Amino acid sequence: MANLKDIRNRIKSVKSTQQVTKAMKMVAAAKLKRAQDRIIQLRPYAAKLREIIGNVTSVLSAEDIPSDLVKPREIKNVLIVLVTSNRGLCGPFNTNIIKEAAQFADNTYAREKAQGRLHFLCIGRKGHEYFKKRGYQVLGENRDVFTNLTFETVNQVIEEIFEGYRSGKFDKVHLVYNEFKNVMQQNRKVETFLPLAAEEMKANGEEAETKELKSDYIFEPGREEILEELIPKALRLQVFRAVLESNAAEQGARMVAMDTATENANELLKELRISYNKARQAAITKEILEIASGANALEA
Amino acid sequence: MKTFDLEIVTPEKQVFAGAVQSVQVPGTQGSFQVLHQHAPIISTLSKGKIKLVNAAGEEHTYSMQDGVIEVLNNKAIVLVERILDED
Repeated sequence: MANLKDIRNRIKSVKSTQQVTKAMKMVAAAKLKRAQDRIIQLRPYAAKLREIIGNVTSVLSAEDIPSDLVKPREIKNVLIVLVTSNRGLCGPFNTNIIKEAAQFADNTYAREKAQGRLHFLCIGRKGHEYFKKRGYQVLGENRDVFTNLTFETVNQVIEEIFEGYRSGKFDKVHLVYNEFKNVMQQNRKVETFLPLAAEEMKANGEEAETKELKSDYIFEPGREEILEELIPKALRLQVFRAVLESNAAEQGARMVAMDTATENANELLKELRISYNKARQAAITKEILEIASGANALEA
Repeated sequence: MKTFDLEIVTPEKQVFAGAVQSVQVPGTQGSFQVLHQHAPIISTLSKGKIKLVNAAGEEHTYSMQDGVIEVLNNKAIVLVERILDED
């Protein structure tokens, strides 16, 4: 049996680890609340933008939608935008989404990958490290996005994507991220980001049409020009939302992971205490035995 | 003076919501003012100032960049990506 001092030391170290995990859980819970609030605050803007785009597109046919962000082209270069977190200690959060992205890349773009025409752009450090280490074509790291999470900082990344797409550096862009479902669960999402599906926009438009009974809007400037402005807005919003969702999901995952860790530490402490008491009792028994036998020896 | 509802929202927060007498916005084809019972309009906005007069007659100004306004049924909604400053 381990000696008393060893067990005492172990108990101490488990306790301090437990304090850390407990604190991290509480921090994650607070951050989660804030992250969720931000998603909620995004909703009115997102809903309204969809509605306006629906209104504008309702009369246009898919071919009339002018933006170069809509037209599909021959796929030569592919970009996968992957949202992970900067920090670890959040359970399988990063591993899962990275696996999802790698699998998606292998299944859909094996040929592009072999020819070096598959690129990754990682928002968050974890994904960046993973793909960099494995020799993928990785563009930016974008670690700052999470240290200062505003529309502004996310926008810089988006502009980079837009520019790459416009200049023909990529012909197709996918977005891979964790969507926040609830604290326990994240949905792993793979979305096509560019080119934008014109059909989808039309669908929104028809929805708006039946709902609003098609008001006679004045369009200033024309429908096409407005659309040209609105489409990038909608796309920017899509990325921003993905980042916010991933942020909330990360905090949720961390909260759960840290809660489990605290729980496990409790179990461990219980076991350690039992063996500590056993060892202590054994030592005492041994001592008494020695004294008793010593006394017996004197009497004899 | 008659009023209508105005909302100014960004992806990050709601900047303004409430009844106003008028609002002036920097349309891409020139600045224009929206009053009570304005015709339905959708217009993109360029960089500039939003000036509103609230129900109490006080004036507020916001500097903005890249937005769009929709007016329908006496309700105006301004979507702005960035509010530079307000007073």
